[in-house]
Amino acid sequence: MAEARTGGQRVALLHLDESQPVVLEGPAAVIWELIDGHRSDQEIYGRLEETFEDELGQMQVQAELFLASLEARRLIEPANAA
Amino acid sequence: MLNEEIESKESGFSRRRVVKGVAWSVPVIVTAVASPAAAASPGQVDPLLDPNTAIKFVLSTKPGSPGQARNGLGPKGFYIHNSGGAPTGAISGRITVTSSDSSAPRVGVQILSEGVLDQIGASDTGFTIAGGVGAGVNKFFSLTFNHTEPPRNWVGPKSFELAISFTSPVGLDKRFLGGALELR
Repeated sequence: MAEARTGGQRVALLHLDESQPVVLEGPAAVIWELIDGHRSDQEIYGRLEETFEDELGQMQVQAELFLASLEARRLIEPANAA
Repeated sequence: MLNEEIESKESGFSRRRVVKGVAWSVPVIVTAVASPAAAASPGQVDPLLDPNTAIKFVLSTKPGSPGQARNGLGPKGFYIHNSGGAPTGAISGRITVTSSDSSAPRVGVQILSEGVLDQIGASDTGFTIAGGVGAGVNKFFSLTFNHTEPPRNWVGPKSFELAISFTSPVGLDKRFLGGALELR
């Protein structure tokens, strides 16, 4: 997978089996940065709670969906499967 | 942003002091539109399904009630890339959502942006996009899916197969997009 960053708040990713890149911005880019193969899901949610104001209380659910969508697109995989 | 964190720690500040207070917003994957040079298909009119990401399924009986929507995964829509020198004219085709499990909840198509569905909310419906796509344009058409009321003790997720086929114009006919939906 190829990865390019602009200004630390925008990440462009290209899975090498795909022809179309995707872009992550804002919270999506932050989550991408937090995925390091060592942090657990809960640790990632904890860091997000430290970082963002979540008035609606939907952060964890939305972050879970986002991680699932990254996995569905094979941009991430469980660390124990690497 | 993590660069900020590193720089901040080195200068004695905490990450929280730098970025705490940033409002949370739904993280999404944005599909970058491929440039003509990067497009792989040799056709003049090509469909492309948006990759799966987090989406909302509206309730079929109350599509206007956000509180009744359920989370899930699926494409937000599809692209029609017209690399030819003339507009496509009207685009028509069929969208079907199927599952090996016929019990509720079921999923259908509620809205196709800029298009008309033959049967709003149905899991098998024809569609027409009268305006088509202009010459040299890669246009996105968004889809909104609905769900029927699940049984009281239903536990998701439930998977569905999405198929979008085209019947006109020439060049797009007989093309097919296949994808997956997951209702949670």
